[in-house]
Amino acid sequence: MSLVMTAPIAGDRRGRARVVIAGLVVLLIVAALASLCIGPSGLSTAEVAGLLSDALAGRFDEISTVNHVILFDIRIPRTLLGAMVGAALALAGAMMQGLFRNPLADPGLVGVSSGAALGAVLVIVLGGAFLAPVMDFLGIGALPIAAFFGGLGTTLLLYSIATRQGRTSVGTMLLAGIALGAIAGAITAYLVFRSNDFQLRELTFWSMGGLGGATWKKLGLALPFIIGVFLAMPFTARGLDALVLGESEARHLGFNTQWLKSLIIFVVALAVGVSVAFAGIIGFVGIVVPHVLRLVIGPEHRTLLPATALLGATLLIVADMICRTIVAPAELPIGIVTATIGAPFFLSILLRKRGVIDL
Amino acid sequence: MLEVENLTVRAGKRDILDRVSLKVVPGQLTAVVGPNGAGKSTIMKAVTGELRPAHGSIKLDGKNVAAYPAYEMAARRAVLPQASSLAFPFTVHEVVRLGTSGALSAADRAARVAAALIRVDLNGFGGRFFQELSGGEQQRVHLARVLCQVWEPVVDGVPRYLFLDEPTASLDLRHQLLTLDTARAFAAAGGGVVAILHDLNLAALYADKIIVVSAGRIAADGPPREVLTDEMMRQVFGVSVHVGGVPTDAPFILPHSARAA
Repeated sequence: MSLVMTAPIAGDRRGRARVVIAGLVVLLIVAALASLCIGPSGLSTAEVAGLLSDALAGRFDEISTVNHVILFDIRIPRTLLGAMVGAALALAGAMMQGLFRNPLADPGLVGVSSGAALGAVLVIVLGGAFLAPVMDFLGIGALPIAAFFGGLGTTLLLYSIATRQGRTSVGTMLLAGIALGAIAGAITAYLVFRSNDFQLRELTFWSMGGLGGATWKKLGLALPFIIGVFLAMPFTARGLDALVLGESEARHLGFNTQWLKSLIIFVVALAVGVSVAFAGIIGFVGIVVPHVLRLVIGPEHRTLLPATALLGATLLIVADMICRTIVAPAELPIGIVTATIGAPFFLSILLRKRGVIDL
Repeated sequence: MLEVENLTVRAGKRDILDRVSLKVVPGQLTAVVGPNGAGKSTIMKAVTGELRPAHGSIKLDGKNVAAYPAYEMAARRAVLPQASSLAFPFTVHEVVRLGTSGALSAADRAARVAAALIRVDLNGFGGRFFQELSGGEQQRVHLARVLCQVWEPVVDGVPRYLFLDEPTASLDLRHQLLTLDTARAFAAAGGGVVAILHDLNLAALYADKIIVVSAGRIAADGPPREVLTDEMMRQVFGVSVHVGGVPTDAPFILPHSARAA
């Protein structure tokens, strides 16, 4: 970036986007620090600061204290998982909306999350039976991998149903999404019905979702998925902009649209798979975050995608803070908070864009 | 040069195009005319690589179009669609910038966008939202985007091409003339232009060559004076009109006068 400030060019919102992104970085850091300091255990901010500065200075001598465990084995992994899942869900939403050329496409609404959940439930219920050799090989990593394939399958199906000759019908997409979600839900319910007591407990625990189960091990498993999602951003941004004009226009502009669409579907499945596997189904993050940011910095994906990741991470961290403080020492499922914020939001978009749905 | 030989395109069992052969020479404006459903847009889709032909060959500068990777095709030719809507609130500047090469610096891209907007008579529209413009203005924004994509008509001795699908469809008369003037200038500078036109007067006025498409075949191909005849109008368009004659006592507007002046 040049140091000389030039007058902004009319219609060019990149300068504003850079300022907003810088602001979002600060916001994310503040939210993350707040998340480390807030909780039912009564760990004071000063104690957290002390522990953090000790760790940064490399002093780990008091490793066994309760405070140390609360901060380093509970709150930090939980905050990091929240950031990862929030960023992944928001990015998946932004990318799907670009692919379907519609601001209402959200992995949670169009059945992709249900497909991913089906993958995860399959592993939990059948993991002890005939999937046992696979489970032995993959261990706990089988959960996100199965969720990824569940999400991938659903997205591919949805895209092939709703898109004909490069034109996506919004009505077909939403209705097909409902149907696919229902099918995945029915199979999931059947598996739950067939499961034994032990599996049932595991399923119940998993299906409540939320970030409560965060551990360093899960973070380590989630990381490669998240890295994959982030690496794809620069390769999809310009292509997503071109896709907004239409698929043939994108091809005329020089994009290999087949490859581009495959990459986007793959990345969406990665993001949703890892989120569902480790945090359950969390809706509406993928709709609210990109929509708000499009209003502020415009829809150009080169700036929209990083801003979306930052705000998604912040939103989920904040939502999680609300969950674990509002009914402390109990915890509210995080889906309640995101749906409470997101559903009215979705309705307001729908009301303003009723013409877009054209069933 | 764009060379199409024996191009056949099928939809189901029906031949939409039946052994179509044509040539587009750089430095010329080639107009494609014909009644609705004759196959004009299908020819356009086939030569821009959007449709796979059942038979025949389409060669751009000696090489089969299917053999060019998408990015290389994009460097050689730009395509103006008939109409295209946007799902998200892009500004005019952002839409036109999509046509500029990522290899340019940010300042150069902005300058190119501004210059293209001036060419389509939309100076100062950069900050407006695309979705809030009128249909004709939107079409000119896309023209500016397409012009950005192939800004120099000839690069290193290799001509570039503009494919325009009804570029004047929703424009007022002034902007119809302006758009075709721009296309002519592109051809005059050595580029190739193919335009689907419905207004035969405009085609006669601006084209070096007119290709008449009828029921999936080429009905006539040549300079306007040879192609536009009473006989062709009756056979292809099914209207008995007198070409070159002035109507009785009804008032009429002669776009030709704009260029004569």
